[in-house]
Amino acid sequence: MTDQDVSNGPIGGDFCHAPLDPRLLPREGQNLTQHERDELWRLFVEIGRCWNNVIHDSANLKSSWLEFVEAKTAQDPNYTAEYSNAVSVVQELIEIYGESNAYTLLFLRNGIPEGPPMTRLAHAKRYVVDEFIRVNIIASGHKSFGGRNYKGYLGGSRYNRLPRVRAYEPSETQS
Amino acid sequence: MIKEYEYIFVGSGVAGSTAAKRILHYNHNTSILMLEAGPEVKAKDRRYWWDYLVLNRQPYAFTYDQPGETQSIGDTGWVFDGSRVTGYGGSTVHWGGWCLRYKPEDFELFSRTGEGGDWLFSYDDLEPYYVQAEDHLSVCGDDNENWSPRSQPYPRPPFEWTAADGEMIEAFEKHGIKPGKMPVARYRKCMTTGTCKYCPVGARFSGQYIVDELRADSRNVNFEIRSESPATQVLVGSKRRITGVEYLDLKTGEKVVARANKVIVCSGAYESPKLLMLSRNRHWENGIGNEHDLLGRYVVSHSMLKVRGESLRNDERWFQEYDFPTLMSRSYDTPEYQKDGKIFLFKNRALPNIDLAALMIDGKSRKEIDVILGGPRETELQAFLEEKGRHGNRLTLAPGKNRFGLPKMKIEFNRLPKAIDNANKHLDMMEGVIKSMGYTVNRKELQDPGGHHTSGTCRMGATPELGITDGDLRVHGTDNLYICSNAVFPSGSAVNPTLTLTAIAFRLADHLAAP
Ligand SMILES: Cc1cc2nc3c(=O)[nH]c(=O)nc-3n(C[C@H](O)[C@H](O)[C@H](O)COP(=O)(O)OP(=O)(O)OC[C@H]3O[C@@H](n4cnc5c(N)ncnc54)[C@H](O)[C@@H]3O)c2cc1C
Ligand code: SF4
Repeated sequence: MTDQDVSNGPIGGDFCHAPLDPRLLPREGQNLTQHERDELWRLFVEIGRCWNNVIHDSANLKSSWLEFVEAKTAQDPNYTAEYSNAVSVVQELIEIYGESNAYTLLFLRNGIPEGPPMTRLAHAKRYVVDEFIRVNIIASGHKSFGGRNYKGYLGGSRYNRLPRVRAYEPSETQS
Repeated sequence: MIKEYEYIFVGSGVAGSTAAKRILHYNHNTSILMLEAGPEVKAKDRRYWWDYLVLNRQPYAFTYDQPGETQSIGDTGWVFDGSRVTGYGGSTVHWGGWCLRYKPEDFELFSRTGEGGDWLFSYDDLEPYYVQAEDHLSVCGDDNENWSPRSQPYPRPPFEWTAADGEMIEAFEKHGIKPGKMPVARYRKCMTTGTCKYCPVGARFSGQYIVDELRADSRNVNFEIRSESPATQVLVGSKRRITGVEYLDLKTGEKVVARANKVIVCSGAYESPKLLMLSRNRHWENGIGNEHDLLGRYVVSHSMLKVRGESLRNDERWFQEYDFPTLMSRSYDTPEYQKDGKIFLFKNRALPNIDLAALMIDGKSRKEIDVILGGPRETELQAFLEEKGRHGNRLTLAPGKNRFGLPKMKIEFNRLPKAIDNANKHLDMMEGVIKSMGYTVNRKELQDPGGHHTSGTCRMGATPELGITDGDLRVHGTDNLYICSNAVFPSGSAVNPTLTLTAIAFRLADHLAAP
């Protein structure tokens, strides 16, 4: 894919560009289907792949993500409708750009204007992708950038022998 | 029929909950009514926690003072925003948990400097209660520190310095500053998650947990708490005899009277004087304990000093790992600096930092982020400035009430030029530290006082002309009205107040109920 394949405006087709109120989409009684959950997990995996920063079969990562999605869809404000929207947005992107490009474009070159999310595409980015990115970093994605801990990472007991952060080791000359 | 209690506590924060717990420890049958103006905010809620992390949404922020409810009218702005939680459990619901003892000289401020006030008891008198307070708050600290004399080790070991603290530790040593480990309130179950302003596992002390515990303990058959029930005045039978309080039930809009043998005002340093000011009657025309117009005076808190520097490289690729500080020093919190005003030094916990997720959200590729991680980076040395309570600095009532039924307020805080000179001297020293770390200084400032450590508004004093309470925290001129709050502190010291507050809560409970 070259830059010419994408115009200067936002990526996607009619579905992605459909206008929406910037506020969280209301849930209309629907629950996430298994297919939608699988697609959302895939979206999360693609975040790690794009930035090459996590091991996706780690149980810790998946359980953090599952807990996050559960908290967001079981309690108000409820994200179920946003999650369904994001799955449809990604589907249209895949149809247009192909599997290997759709995610990279969504993450890195989406052309969404700044400001409140006014389209389906912008909703998917703001309410789903951006929040999944934070979960990625918190739930272990920070480690590949060099850290041992991060605000929100359940590091484990500090009484363990292993330090939970990059710890200060005084040089020999110090007392 | 109006129910009669042994005690009414006004406020469910760390002061009220600690003293109530200790009194119930001595006799579980004691009847206690605890009134709390604010609502309950759910603790350890995973959705709140995720939203706090991912959206930076603080679950209790809706209880903060709103513009229009407070006014700062002095020559120096007073920062109200985020300075307290009006809710079940009080302000420790969002505190950082830094737990430092005052130093012996802090209790003799007036005698040693001719300014501020003296406490009516000494560090040595309070020392056994500091031990209890540290245990109650589960303080993790360094036994070898020797900043203040201690009779017992800390209940838990300290959090170790982080690698990013290292360069500042080395600079401290060059400047003759002794580095120390920040003592913080963390239970053993802490998972080093670093989101302590909303802990997902309840490992950082909060007044909420103590009130929950008191409610859940089936032995406490006569303990009651009522949220959304602001006390509106303290009631008297005669000048000396307090009979109870009147409060507003916010759920029904009704005014209710509750009677008690003793009333303990634990409403924080803003509301404690306000409640007494509102309690006007034929015996106390200006409010209870206010014959000498001292309520609300001597208001003081901490202002932050900050020196920030930038280095072009970040070879170690440091970013923030804990959201609480690990490095501090009390080398400028000594008798030598007390006359002009001491400072308490600590490293800004959040620096160096690179918000990795924000860069990803912004569409930066891995390669670009790796370059950004290599530098530049920032560091910051911060300090709390000790100031002395002054008669002209005061909190007063403003017309109207806030949404919790509490009166609006004004604070007049004027700063003397010598306090600014002292701050500047300390800032120069701090700048020297940052420079000797090899950083270029890009910010150096004295901020306005933050209301989070407000003290002094009902300070203790040997006579009614000098203070609102006596050394037992009883309001002068009354038999049975007590104040347990930072409000009674006659000095602000350079360090955070809550460990000392917790110690005086234990002391008060012993005074009232120890066999
Ligand atoms: C952001 C922040 C961080 C902090 N971090 C630290 C720290 O690291 N270390 C430290 O030592 N201190 C810290 N503090 C200060 C600490 O929170 C306070 O010293 C402490 O909580 C005071 O306890 P308290 O019980 O006196 O008051 P509060 O905890 O404020 O409790 C008073 C309670 O009384 C209620 N109330 C008020 N008026 C009435 C009324 N009329 N009727 C009924 N109820 C009423 C209030 O709603 C409140 O719940 C911090 C403060 C802030 C704002
Ligand atoms: S570090 Fe984590 S587990 Fe420990 S007190 Fe803070 S938030 Fe709770």
